[in-house]
Amino acid sequence: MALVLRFATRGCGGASRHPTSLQGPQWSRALFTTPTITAMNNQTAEDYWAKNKRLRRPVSPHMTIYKPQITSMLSLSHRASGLALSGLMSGFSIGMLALPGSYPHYLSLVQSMEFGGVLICGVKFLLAMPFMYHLCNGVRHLVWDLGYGFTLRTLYQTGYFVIGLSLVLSGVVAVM
Amino acid sequence: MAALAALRRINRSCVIGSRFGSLRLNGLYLVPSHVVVPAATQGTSQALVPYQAKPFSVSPVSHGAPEIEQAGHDHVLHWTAERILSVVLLGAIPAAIIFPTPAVESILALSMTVHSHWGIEAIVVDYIRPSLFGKIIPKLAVGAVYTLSFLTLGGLCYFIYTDVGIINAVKLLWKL
Repeated sequence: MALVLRFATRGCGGASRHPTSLQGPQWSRALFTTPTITAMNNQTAEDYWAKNKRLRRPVSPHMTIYKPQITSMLSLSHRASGLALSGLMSGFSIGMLALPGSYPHYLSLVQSMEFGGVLICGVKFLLAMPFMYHLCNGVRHLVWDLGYGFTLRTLYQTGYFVIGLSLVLSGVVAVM
Repeated sequence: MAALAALRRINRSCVIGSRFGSLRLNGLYLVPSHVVVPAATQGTSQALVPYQAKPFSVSPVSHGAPEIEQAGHDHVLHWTAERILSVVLLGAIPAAIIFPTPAVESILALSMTVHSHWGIEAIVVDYIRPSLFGKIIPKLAVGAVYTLSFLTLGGLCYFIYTDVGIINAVKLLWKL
């Protein structure tokens, strides 16, 4: 890692280029470029996807074999909770536009069904959970955007903390 | 941590791609300040012919979705706007709880809708890709997201001004 950095710094700062030997940026580029660059330099007219479709090539397993980890699962949950909350918000908003009655009217309809306390508590928890999780993980995202917390240990610690905090907050709100 | 700081310093002096605008290179990537001249015009050495740096675009090229290309140039601004809006939304929620007036609630509604819109748009752009769905459907999907968001905002504003308001609605629901 340090070796690569030393090459990189030298390549970036230095003004001279020696084309006959690998140095600095060339060294790292030679090692790290992907086929995308060389594909751009080729003259092929066919699209990568079209070609592989034409040859009926199978796709290597990816989603089915990758181990679920806290990093990917929390990221997925962040997206999923956001999607769910957005759906709820849009559904509510457009629903209230379309429906004739007022909000207290529909609320009294639900009240008249006289659901049990435990059921109501459970539903409140299920409603609060995506919101609290998205809120807590959102703050974790903002902390990343400021540049902090990228070591693997910190990622795992903050990840577990966010899960715990969401559960606690949802629980508190559910009994309110 | 020091390595990360050093990397960041390097990256700041060189151009790197953003989520939408990258050339999908792995590892360290450095853009040379000038192009390397091929070895044929200098010296007679035939030994190591390094990777020749050819001029290429750091803006997105058409290996990805067309709509990503258009967004590529503004993406840094868009990204920053997303984060600022998240912070605004984080403040708008307690503000609306403390001051449940139509004005503050409208700010909450606007922040929620734009935040949700950018989120759903990102999901749609990520998964409804031209390589899977052709050329028309991704554009229609993004149009549908805009329609949904405008309808949601309209519905929320209607709800704030003719019905009980967002925070009140949650409070009433919680009293069940």
